[in-house]
Amino acid sequence: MQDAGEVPRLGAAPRKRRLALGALLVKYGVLGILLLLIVFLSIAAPAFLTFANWRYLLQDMAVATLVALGVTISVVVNGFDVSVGANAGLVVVVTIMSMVFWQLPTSLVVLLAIGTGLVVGLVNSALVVRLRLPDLLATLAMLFVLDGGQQILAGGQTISQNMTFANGELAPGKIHAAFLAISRGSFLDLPNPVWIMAAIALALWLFLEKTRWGRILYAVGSNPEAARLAGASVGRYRTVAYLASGVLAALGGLLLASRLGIGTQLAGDSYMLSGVAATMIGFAVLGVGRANALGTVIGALMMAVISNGFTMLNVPYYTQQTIFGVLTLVALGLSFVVRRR
Amino acid sequence: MLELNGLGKSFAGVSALQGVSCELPGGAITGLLGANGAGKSTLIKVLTGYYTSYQGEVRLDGRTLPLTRPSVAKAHGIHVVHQEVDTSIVPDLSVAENLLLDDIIAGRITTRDVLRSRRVRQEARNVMAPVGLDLEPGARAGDLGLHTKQLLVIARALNQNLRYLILDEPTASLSLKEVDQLFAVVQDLRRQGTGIVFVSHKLPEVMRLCDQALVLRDGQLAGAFDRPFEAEALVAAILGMPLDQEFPARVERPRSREPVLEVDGVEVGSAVKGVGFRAYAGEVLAITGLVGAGKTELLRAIYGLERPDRGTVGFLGRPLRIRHPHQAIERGIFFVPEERRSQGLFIDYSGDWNLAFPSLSSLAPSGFVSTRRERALSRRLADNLDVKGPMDEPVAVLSGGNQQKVAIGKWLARKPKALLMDEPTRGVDIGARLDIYNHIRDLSADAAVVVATSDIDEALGIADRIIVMFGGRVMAELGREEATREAVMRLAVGAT
Repeated sequence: MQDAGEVPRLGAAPRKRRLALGALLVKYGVLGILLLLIVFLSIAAPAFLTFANWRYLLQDMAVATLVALGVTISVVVNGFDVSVGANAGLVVVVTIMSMVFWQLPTSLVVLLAIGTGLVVGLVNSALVVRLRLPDLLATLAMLFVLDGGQQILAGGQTISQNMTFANGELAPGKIHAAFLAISRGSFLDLPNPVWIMAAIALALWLFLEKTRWGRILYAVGSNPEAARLAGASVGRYRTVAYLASGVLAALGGLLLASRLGIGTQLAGDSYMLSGVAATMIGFAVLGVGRANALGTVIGALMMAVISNGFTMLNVPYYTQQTIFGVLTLVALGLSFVVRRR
Repeated sequence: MLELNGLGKSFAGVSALQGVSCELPGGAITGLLGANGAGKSTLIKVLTGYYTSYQGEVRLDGRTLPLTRPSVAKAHGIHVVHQEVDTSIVPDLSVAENLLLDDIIAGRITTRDVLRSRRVRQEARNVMAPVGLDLEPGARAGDLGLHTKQLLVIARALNQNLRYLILDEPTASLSLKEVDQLFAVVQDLRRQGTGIVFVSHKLPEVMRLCDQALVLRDGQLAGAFDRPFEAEALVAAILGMPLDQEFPARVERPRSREPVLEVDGVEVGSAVKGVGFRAYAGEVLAITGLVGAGKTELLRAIYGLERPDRGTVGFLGRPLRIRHPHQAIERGIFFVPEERRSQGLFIDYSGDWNLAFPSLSSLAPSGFVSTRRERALSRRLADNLDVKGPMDEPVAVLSGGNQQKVAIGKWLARKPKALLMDEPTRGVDIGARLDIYNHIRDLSADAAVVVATSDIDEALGIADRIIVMFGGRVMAELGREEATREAVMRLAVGAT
């Protein structure tokens, strides 16, 4: 087989069919499982496949999706940002505090949220790109710094309007209606977070898949040395990826804060693992085999469908986790095992 | 005697190896030749128990071996030194631990013994001695050179029951002296009755070392040869047709009046010690010398990959200060690195993707890449270079020669003014090699082409002018008439 282009002529007919089935599984395994899941839940829980429920489901997945996209772009450059959840949590505390304690207007609160994400991204990229610390270790350490930091900042308590300080004084600020409307308002009968999620996911997908900068990010992740030899500034692109990851996580935190309306401690933590999971499932979507925005959205959707649908069926939370874990293994197993053959 | 009987292996219905029957006698060196993708690696993997299933049978002294696990092959004394020898070495363990790894795994020796006991250290020395190594048993194995690691792996195999040793392209990155050393060890093993399989792209080495030679082509045995070998017959078997010429025909063309590249007094650490040259459009300049002569470091310094300590580089009459490759690329200076898999290609991405990558700024002036234009460009380049194989699948599936064509071809759309190539035909089979030489020749019509190669025959075959380096210095610059094989050889080993 001097060149792989001419060889398939030797394949016998039945083998070809098996090969085609394998290729189908690699490509559509995850989507197939998601579809089966939706069909099953629609039959088992009549309220599942209604517009009202999907409105809620999509709104519910917005925060997780944004945080997961942050993980995704860091994985694209062969990095790994696990500080995204803590970053989102910090943003929840910072935004609520900025209104309740510092009485900032909504526009500044939004800017502060994005600024916080940028700073976290900048520190991460300094650790990873400048100091060349291993990505996972650096961002894991950041996770603890940010988790601890938000509790120090809030004095370990939940921040809410009308809260009283230790000295008996009432907190001066109020949570603005405009701020709450970010998550709670809707446009064309769909909640704002759904639009925000869709717009950002689409933009990131276009950026990664269709622009030359996206190409270069993937190139940097695939082979930094070859990317450098082809003229790419590897450090700069990795920095951009970590900045983007920080901002995406912060946007997730912003949506979360506006939905909660109070500054709960460590509100973002659970979004890190779900973000990693969505990114990894995304690898397998359509058999792409690399981190990608569309796949991550599908992964986040799968998680949202499971949590929403099985809650309707009164399946407890921990059983849902098990179901999600098993389905993830099946989905990934299908595509990876078949591909290896 | 190791007998292969109708050996075959197929993947997803595509056969990589088919009906190979031959005999590998003990106490003899068998050369295994073939183009990239001819089935050599598959054959080696079958013999070392890498696959759980294969067709046909392997008989050792008349007994059929079930080679479905690596441990079976090892138990019967079949060992391999991989081309990527690092895969057989545990870098963080000591030399002694690596040598006695199988004993440690089997529980015969504990790691503590290795570190403490004088007996074990002595044993490690005894194991090393037959291959002529005398390393400090406590040294970290990862710090050893490639050549030493190869000998270490051989020594480890010897320490078990070595009956057959397979060497997969062991000389690809060795210096001449190291090759001699390795060959001496191999010949020693042969005298002791070990059967050797020597896999190589280098015909002269096979002809020098081997007692018999087998040629694979398209997964089948294309020929078996005995001493004395005829190079033409071997080449014809490898290619499936006779090779009329090894190098492209000479073309007399005028070179540019002014040099494209003017390099003066470049020093890089201890690798390059004050090197200067001129490169003109219209000619191929070869920089030759042994492995380690400083050729790679010189090219890398020009391309902005290493910071030179001293010296200047001029480009089209202007001084050039390059700190990052993109500054070279903007000016039309491109570099094809020596390690195509780790430096030249994005191995998981398609040929189309790789070919288009350096041209993205022109394919996507607005930022958005036009898939149609990208495809048109990459297909044009692929046609131009005669790349064989699917261009919409990861380049990892292409043969070495075709991969190299992609690594070179990706620059062609950018109209090079100067092209720096480091070992452009390493690991490339004979057929694709001539294609690449032809492209180098064509490219040199409008660009200054600088080829660094440790293959002296290659330098003689393609260059209009040859610079010979030794120990980081230029020994001489030779025109085509003065450059004889003997003269270049002498200069390359430092004789004047």
